[in-house]
Amino acid sequence: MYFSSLEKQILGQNMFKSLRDKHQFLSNYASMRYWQVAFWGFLFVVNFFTLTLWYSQASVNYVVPVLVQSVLGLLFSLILQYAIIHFWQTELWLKSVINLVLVATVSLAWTVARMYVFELTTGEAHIWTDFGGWFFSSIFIFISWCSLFYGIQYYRLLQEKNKDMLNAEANAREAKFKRMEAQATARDAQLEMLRYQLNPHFLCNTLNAINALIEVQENEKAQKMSVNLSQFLRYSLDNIPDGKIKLEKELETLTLYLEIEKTRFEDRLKLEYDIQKTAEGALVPSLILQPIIENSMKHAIAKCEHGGKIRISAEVRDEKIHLFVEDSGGPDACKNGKVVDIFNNGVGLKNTEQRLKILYDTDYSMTVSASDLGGIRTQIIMPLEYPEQKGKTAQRSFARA
Amino acid sequence: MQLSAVIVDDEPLALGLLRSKLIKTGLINIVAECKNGREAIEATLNLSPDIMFLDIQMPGLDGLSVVKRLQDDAVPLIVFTTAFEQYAIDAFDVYAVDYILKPIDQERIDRSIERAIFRLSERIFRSNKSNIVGAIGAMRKHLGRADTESSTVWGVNHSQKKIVIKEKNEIILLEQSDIVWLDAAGDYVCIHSNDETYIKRSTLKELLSQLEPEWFKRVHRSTIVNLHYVVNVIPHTKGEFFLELNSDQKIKVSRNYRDVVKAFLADGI
Repeated sequence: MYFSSLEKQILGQNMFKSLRDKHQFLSNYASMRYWQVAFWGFLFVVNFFTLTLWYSQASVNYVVPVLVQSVLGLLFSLILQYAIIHFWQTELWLKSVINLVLVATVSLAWTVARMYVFELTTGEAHIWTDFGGWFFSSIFIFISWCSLFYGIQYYRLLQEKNKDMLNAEANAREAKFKRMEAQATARDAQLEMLRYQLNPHFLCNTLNAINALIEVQENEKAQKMSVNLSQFLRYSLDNIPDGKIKLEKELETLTLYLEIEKTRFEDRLKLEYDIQKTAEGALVPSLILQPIIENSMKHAIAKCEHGGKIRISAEVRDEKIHLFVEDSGGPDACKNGKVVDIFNNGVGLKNTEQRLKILYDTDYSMTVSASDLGGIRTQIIMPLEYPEQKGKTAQRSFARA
Repeated sequence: MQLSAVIVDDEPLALGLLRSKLIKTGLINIVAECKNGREAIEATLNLSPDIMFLDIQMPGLDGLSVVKRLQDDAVPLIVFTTAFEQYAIDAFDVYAVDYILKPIDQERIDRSIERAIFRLSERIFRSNKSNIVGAIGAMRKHLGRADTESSTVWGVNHSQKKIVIKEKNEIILLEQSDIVWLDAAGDYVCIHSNDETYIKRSTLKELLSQLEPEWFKRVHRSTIVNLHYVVNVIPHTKGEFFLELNSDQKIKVSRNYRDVVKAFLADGI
């Protein structure tokens, strides 16, 4: 479920989240400055060659006003640019009218300014009679400036859109890949779980023990063991890897398993529980402890001639639920009194860690250390959760189905 | 004819079932019941049973190690009992090692006993041990521990050389002074230290040539002993001896090799 929201976040993202973003993008002056300088520089060059040289006025007096008029043009175009962007979102017809008025106004102002500068530096006062000609060319200069401006802005928008689409595509691909990866991990974890619970070694040995009880006509014990076994199997097969159950229930299931093992190993298996009352109602991933305990059975109890002890404890601390499984260690641990092979515990622990990661992302911790019992102590810390209302839970499982 | 049997299983219920099923056949006389590998070795050395029903998964020494640790002559007919060791079962089939699957059924037990009686009466006494060690070697291969060890011995700075053993993805360099005894089993040699038995693909002759001649003596067709570890010499019938070693091991010395022991005793005095 959280994948789709992730995807939505990536895919559903518009190019610009708001008009303000678009406005900001359009009025990014930095990206406009080169072509502004180029346009007005070009005007200066053309003016110099077509008018100044034509009229043989190649003296400082005549070149300066040409240069100044380009600089003034640049300044006026900045005002125009600001105004055009300001009215960018208005309707087309209104925008056209506004733009025309703007061009006319700015052109007028620029014409007056540049004529004044020309008169000032050259002393030619008679130019004012040609005002119409100056104004006429100004309007065309600003109209071409406008066209260029629009052209460039639309080009930039198009570029941005393309980039966005490519990005979105890449993101979508990545999201899909991530989702597939997560699904594969979840599926692997589930398969591992199944393999673990249907451990054929455990199954065959248990059936052999039931067989033995029948042989000596311990009917009740045999019945109890077969009922325990089937309950445990049913629960395991019914289990969903991302499902959570109350700790109470989890311990009940573990008891089914441990009672079977206790019948098999008799007094070689000693159990100790230390469950805080407040922890009992908390939610934990179903069968999260079973692989760890099975590990202890395999590496500690079954390996020692005199067996050993498994201690299961749970407590609520700092809004977290803490679970502990400890054992008295294998024969090497018995011998040297130190933990050997902590990380050689293989599939069980890896699988458990994977499930926790899928369920809680980074909001969990699983650590393995030495236990004062002589073996390994596995500690799992998870966020404290309690069951929701009945309706909600039903809805959720329905959604999954 | 009744066969004397030792039965071994670490689970009391499983042991009880095995006992009951075996007694029902009327062909088996159970002389000892053991809960682990250590007890199994002790019972075998003391009681020399005809047959041993041996669980594979056990605390301490597992069933396979029990066989590895026994001198060839001391190994009775072995029937392994196992719940689910697929890799072992495949190897057993190849090397004709007998086994019973759990849950145990009467039919399979009857068949194993029949086979044992046939072997004993026909005196088909192909070494029990070499088959089983061969199977263990095959399992090791199956588990990805390809047996690529060179049979060369690495020289070290002192005159003594170390023995190279490839085990579980690691190479062990065994000091000669740590070797208590060795015996041949088919294509393999079992090298026994105080608490571990390694198997190495080699011949006894090849290994003997690399071992310190002052310490290691052949005392039997297939057995070499490190004399440093001998704590007691027990005379037996027909000029045979038993050497008691540090590690609670009794090694039989055959008549042909008794001079070695005599020389050792003379030196000691």
